[in-house]
Amino acid sequence: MDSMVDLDPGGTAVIHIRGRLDFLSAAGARQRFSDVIEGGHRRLVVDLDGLEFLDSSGLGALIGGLKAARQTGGDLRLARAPEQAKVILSLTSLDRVFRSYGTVEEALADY
Amino acid sequence: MVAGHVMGAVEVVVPVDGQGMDVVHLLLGRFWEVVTLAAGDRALPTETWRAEFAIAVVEIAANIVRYAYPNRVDGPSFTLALRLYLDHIEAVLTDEGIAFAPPAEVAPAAVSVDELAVDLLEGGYGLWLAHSAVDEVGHERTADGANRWRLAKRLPLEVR
Repeated sequence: MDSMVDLDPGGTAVIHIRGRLDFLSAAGARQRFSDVIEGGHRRLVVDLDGLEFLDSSGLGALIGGLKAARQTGGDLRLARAPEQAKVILSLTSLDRVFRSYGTVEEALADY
Repeated sequence: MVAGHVMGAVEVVVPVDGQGMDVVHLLLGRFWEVVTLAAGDRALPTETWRAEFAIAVVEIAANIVRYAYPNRVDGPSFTLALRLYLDHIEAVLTDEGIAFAPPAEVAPAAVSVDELAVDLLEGGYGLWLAHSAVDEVGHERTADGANRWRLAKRLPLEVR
């Protein structure tokens, strides 16, 4: 999995995920979210357009990032989730926990 | 579900290493090609339906890769077979690792976001997800000391 981060001086960050977010990459993703939050960017948008697959461990990384962001008064939102990601979010009812948007712009605008 | 005649099948030996999951995903992709070819007049399963099956296969496969061979010796692996029948598809995963011990309850009981995150990260929800995503999830320890997982999902029956 690769991730690219766009940081905005206003405190938002867009994290673009490419590849599989699964048990092999979950720890790295979790670290990425932590680093961004600790760097002072608490309003995160995770852009899932390049996501190939999301497993339960990947969900764990997203939940961990969500918790860390909300603890600092921010949030972690999802954008452009592909179908398989939507399905696993729905099966676990975590689609009710994350705010999800069709585009990164909509996610940022809603902050 | 009717066992009957196999209409299409793919099978591979998956190495228990850093490339194992690449092989699993490749095989799933190949299997959908087979299902498409075999569909004939029948409606193809939807993207959602295929995602559910893939989720179940990946969670079981991930558990094997992560936990079946704690004392690794030369080239541990498992076999993954995906088969298309008239009214269902199945995945059979067979490994020769340590005996799988099913948890007392299939659904882990996370009471906080911290526990939820940890449970998810450690694969604690894998079996529960598999049960939610497909119709049948079965495990047996075979006579020759292998673990055999079988997942089955009923196909939609509409005709195009």
